[in-house]
Amino acid sequence: MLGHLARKELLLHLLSARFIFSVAVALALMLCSGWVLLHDHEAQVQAFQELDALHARQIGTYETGADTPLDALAMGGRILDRRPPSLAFIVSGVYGDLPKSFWLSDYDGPVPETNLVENRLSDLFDRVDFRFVIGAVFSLLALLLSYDAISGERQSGTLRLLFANPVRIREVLIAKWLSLVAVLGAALVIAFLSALLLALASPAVTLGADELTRLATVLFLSLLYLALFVSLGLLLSSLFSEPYAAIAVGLMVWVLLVFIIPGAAPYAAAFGEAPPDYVGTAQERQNNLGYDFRTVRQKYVDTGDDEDTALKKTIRFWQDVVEPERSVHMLRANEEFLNRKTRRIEKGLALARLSPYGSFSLAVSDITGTGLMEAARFEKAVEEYRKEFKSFLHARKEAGQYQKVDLAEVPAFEFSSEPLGTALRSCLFDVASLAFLTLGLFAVTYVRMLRYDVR
Amino acid sequence: MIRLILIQRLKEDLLNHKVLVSILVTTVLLGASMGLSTADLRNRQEVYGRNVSHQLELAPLFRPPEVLSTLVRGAQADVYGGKSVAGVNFERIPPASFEDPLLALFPTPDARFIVQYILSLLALMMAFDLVAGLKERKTLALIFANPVQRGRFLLGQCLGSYLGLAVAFLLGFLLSAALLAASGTTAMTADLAVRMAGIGLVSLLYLAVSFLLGALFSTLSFDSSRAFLLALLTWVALVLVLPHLLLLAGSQLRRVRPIEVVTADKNAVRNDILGKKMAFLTEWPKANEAMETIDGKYSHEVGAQEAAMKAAARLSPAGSYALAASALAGTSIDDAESYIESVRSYLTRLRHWVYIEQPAHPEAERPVYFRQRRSSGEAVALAAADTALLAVWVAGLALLTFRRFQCYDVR
Repeated sequence: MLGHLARKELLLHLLSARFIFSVAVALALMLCSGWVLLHDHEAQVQAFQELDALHARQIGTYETGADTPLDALAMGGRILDRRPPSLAFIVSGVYGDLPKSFWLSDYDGPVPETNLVENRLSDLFDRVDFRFVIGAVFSLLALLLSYDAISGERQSGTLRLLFANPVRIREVLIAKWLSLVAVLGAALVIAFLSALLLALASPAVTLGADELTRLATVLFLSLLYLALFVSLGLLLSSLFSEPYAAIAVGLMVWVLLVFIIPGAAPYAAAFGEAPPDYVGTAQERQNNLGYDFRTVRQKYVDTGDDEDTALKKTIRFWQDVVEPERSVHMLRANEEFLNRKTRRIEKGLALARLSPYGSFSLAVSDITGTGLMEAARFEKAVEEYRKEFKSFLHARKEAGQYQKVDLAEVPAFEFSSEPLGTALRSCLFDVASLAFLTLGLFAVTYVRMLRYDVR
Repeated sequence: MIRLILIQRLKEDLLNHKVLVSILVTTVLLGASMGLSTADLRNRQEVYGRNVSHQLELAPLFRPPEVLSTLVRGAQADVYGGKSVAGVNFERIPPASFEDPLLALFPTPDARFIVQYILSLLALMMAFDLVAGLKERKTLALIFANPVQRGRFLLGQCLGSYLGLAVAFLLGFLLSAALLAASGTTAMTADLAVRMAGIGLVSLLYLAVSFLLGALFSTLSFDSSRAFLLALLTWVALVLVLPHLLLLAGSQLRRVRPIEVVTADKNAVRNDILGKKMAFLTEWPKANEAMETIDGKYSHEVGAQEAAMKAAARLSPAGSYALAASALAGTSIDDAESYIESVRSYLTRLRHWVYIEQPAHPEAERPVYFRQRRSSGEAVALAAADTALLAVWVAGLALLTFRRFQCYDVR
């Protein structure tokens, strides 16, 4: 019986104008955004390869050879780049919006590298990627397909006829739910695969077992997310006898879940917290703690040194006394910034997860390695590297090897993307909350249907 | 006659709670958004105040937070200045998303966003059963049994329904203006009032576009559920899909190298000079010039891409609206651009002074930074084209609706 009902529903949806429109819209959007994201990704990968090779030969922004003095290395520091996540062409996440290179030295860092010019249109219009297509467009389509599933049949009188047969409410509901999810899933898979086919031709994209598992997880999450909106639509159609009332309420709920809650989350999280202050931190970094280069040099000159010795002594004083003292100050400022930032993000994340779109977005971007988690991991890895770099320099200093450091001897920076296992585990909470909501809404619909007047 | 129809329509909307729901939605959303935005603005003003008091000498260089970024967050661009051995150097403050990456993941629900996405949906819901609903209830045939002109009837209906929506929006908008005034973040000046009035006006125009879209579909179909579905699908295409597709297309018309590559080019120039050891003091100005040429070329590329994207975005009403609203709020891309440009040209002058003229000139002749913030009149002029485009949409849709209604089967 269930199979029978489900087949009927499926055919009904597949032939409806709404479904054809949904697939057309989703396909157009997915293909266009996929194509553009792919081009961006290719450019990013190429830029990363060039820059990484360049920065390996540099201290700070200055090119150097095998005869770098240790002091220059300690002051000039290194620049580390983040490799573009391999799936950024599907879900762009926050990778494109955050600094991709960090500078660090013996005394200071990590500090993001920033530039004066860039295209600012993304400030005004948000980016479109798979996450947006599923999260905002498809979820609305899911509501549109399901908002009159029950009330519509009641209005046209077929519901009465249906229940004149020996069918269970449960079967009818499950058949409706399954067919809707299957239809949406079909549209989703078509759109997803077409975007993926585009990517296969690109040299910048490699799809190994790891990537494929991630992509499958993304598909699964998308399907779960859409199932939630199908449950919501079914509930609304059982609650309201007028289809417009159902969709009007549905639209408001959709707006709240998809746009308002996640969008307001970071602002609400900022309430009552000291904000992470980049400029304040930058000012702390420039603080000379009352030392003045010229005054110190003058003091040496006054005590009878000639100009040249005074300069050399001042530089030594600066490096042995002032910089370490400043360093403590700078590192404390950097740490304070990071602490405040982490606190704020954690609060924001908790608030954003109140909405399914928040959960979905975070899970999908984390799985593809373009999310907040990966960005934080990268910053942490850079901080770890800074410590390693520092201990390398100090070992050299203690050994008295002040001259001629070969950059090849400096510890290399290693950063690999988060292993699949941990990434999957980290999105378990989101999967659980999405599944819980889906089932919960479905259960409420069932209870409501038990005493539904089918006439 | 029109007045009668208009008032009757308004009463009907009031009775079936449409107006009430609209008022509720707009006031709650706009009020809450303004509450969060003013808190954010206060934070940014505090940071700005600290910067300025910390470095009095460079104070004019910092960009004070735009008050109306509470309504339209718009494009962000701030520069941080600091003293260095060579006089002054500047760095771009990373986008706010560096301090809080969640901002990059989800769009900010400011007033512009709420109007563009949510209130336009509301406008659609107000209008979809304007004609089809009356027909379903068989009142349409009765009305036209009287000597009523179709054009006048439709005008009265549209105006009546739209008035309810407009009142709801204006209530929410006034509430957020009051919240802004009460927040103590700014004094209410004439300049601010003109800008806010402009934003209110373009918002109303944009809402009229959505409203008329609903009305058009209402005259296109004979039952309101079909009208609603068609209007909603068109909304999805026009608001959720089209602007993004247009932007993507625009970005592909003029492509730009990744900024990292440009930075590497600049660094290569600097390294070249530094390789010359002691000569670098004399060669430095040349290096700066070369780096600025690279910068200028790149910003030209970016400018061309932005222009193409803006032109493409204007093909959709949502794009026009976003551009007009941000221009009026003083948070447009052009505002950000002119600010960055002013800093860059100051930097050039300053370097010239430090490296080439300094020996001959005392500190008193250090170049002065000066930025002319766009006045409200200029902002209005900047937004005029987009406002006109929206007006064209309104006129076109109205015309279509009226033409369509002339041959509508009222039975």
